[in-house]
Amino acid sequence: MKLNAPQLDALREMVNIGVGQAAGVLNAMLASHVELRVPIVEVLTGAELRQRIQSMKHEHISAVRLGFKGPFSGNASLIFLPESAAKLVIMLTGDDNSTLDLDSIRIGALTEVGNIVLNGIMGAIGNELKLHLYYSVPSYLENPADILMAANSQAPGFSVVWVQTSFTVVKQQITGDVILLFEVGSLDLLVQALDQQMGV
Amino acid sequence: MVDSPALEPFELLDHLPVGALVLARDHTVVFWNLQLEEWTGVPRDQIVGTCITQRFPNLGRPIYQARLQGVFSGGAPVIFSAQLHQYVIPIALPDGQFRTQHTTVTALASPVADEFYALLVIEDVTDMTRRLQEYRGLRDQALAQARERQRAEEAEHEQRVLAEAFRDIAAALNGTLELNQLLDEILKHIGRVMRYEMVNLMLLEGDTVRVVRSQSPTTTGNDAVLGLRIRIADLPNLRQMLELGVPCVIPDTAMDADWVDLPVTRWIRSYAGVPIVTRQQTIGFLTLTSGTPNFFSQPQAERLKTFADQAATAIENARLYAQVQQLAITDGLTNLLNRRGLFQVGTSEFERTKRFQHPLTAILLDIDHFKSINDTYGHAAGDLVLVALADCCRYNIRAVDIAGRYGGEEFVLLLPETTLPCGLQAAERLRAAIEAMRVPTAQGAISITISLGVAPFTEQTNDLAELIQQADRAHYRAKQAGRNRVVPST
Repeated sequence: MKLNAPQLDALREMVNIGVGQAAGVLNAMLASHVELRVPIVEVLTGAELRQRIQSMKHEHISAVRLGFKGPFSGNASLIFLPESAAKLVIMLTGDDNSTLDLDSIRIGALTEVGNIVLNGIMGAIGNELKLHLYYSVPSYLENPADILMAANSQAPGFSVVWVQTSFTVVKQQITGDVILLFEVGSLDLLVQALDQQMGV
Repeated sequence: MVDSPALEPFELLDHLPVGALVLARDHTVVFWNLQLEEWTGVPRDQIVGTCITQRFPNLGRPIYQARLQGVFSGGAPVIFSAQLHQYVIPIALPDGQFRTQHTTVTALASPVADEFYALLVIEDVTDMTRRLQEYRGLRDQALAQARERQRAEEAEHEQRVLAEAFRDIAAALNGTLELNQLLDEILKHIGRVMRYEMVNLMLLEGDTVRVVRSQSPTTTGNDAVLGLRIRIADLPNLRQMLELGVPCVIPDTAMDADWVDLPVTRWIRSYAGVPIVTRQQTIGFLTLTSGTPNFFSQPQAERLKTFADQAATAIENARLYAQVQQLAITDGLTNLLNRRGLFQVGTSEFERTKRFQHPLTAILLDIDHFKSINDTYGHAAGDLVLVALADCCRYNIRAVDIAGRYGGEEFVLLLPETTLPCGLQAAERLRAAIEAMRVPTAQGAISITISLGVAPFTEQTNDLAELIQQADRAHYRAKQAGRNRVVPST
């Protein structure tokens, strides 16, 4: 299933609003100005997603996942690439490299960042599409099998929205990428909601 | 049947081992569980119904407000991690620290449609955090110790390698007494002590230095420097080393006002030099250069100094040895070769002649009536005559010719690349010169004559002794024939 150009634009717009809100929250928490940008929004099939994730060094990636239920159900995951995760943790905790291997610090900080970004985006989608969703408590994942769970879906017509998000911390000249994966049981419902919102 | 008391809607939260707090959008506390009562000492009945920010203004901060808003509308859960917030509700511990908290906020349905309460579930992670910090402290300490140990080991290893190198160098440099060989050894070993791009070894000759060795594994064109003579006065770095006797390091020649920019030195950006000093006398310099700025440091120069000191002793020994060698083959009175020297130097020339079948002519000469000179004028005058004869010989032969005192008043000349006719001419020239010579002595000027026998090398001549013997026979015939003349062997 593919989204047409207006649908993709509408989705990109919602993601941008959500990411903007998340950036506002991060700015308030940090002394530095954080910019978040969304250069790429695309729809991938399960096979394409599998390929993408495998091309990353997935033994080192981690993710925060937020499940939701309602008119359409699914998961939103924020995937941290190792280098970006390290930069984010340094930026957020002021910790130097020597302590990055301490899992609980990394996990705590990354979970909260994931929570902020995902809430921003889900909030924007919920608001724009005027949907009410029920959420589970976000979870932190490091196990590649868990992270790849979505990619292994054999459901026919399964597709995900892949959102590449770049962050820049202006003062510290830190830049990095995080990947937002938006999986819904069927994109049809999302497409319907998008069409309704656009008044089609 | 007795009705069991009605359960308050949130009473379940009293049974959880976490702090739990229910807030309405206007921040009114709807529920406050027993765990929070215990932690804060604030009883439920005093706080429920009040605004949470009255007692805990912390929660009124924008970073909390902004994120909680979504929850009151039924949005996604919010996490305040211990790493980024430390706590949401400040709860002091007996030691003055605050409980470290990991807080999860979720939306709970409220009696009003589309309005939600926020349930704050607060986990106490103080102990875990402290243990983690302790662990981190221990680990950092262990890492620091390990790093320190590694540094010490590396330094020790370096010292050991260096000491080994110096031991080898000492053995190598003391292993030869031949100066040219020694200079080669010095160049061969300096790389074990220092890295460099070019090394020059210079020996002092009066107020100049001569580059006697130059080597460069990386840069070409070192021949441009080899053999170069440089006036010390022209190079401030050499002058400084000569005057102070200490190493000279120029980390960056571009920043050095005194650096002399010559075509052959233009590529150099970093310089380290040491004087070669033995018995308080500077006898030369060892200089290392590199095209990279800051290639050399002061500690390295000290190391180079140690090396140069070893080299200095070896060079001194080699020079002394050469002197002794020279003395052993020199006749003390005439400064010509003595008999031993004559055979030592002459034999190698003879071997060369034989190998290449080149001409070689020997002349044996002695002073006519020398005994009567001694008897008449005394031995001192006799010595003066011998010295004058030797000087005259030296003056009348070429640099390649070999002259030696064969016995008392007998001398031998070996003329390489010289045939018999030419040898005869040379002998006659010498005879005439001696005849014309006057030797001033205390007893007045003395005239002498000499008799000369001349013998050419032939295929039948077996060795130098045989050649000299043939010349001696001819010399005998010259004596027989009336002295003051030249007689060929054939």
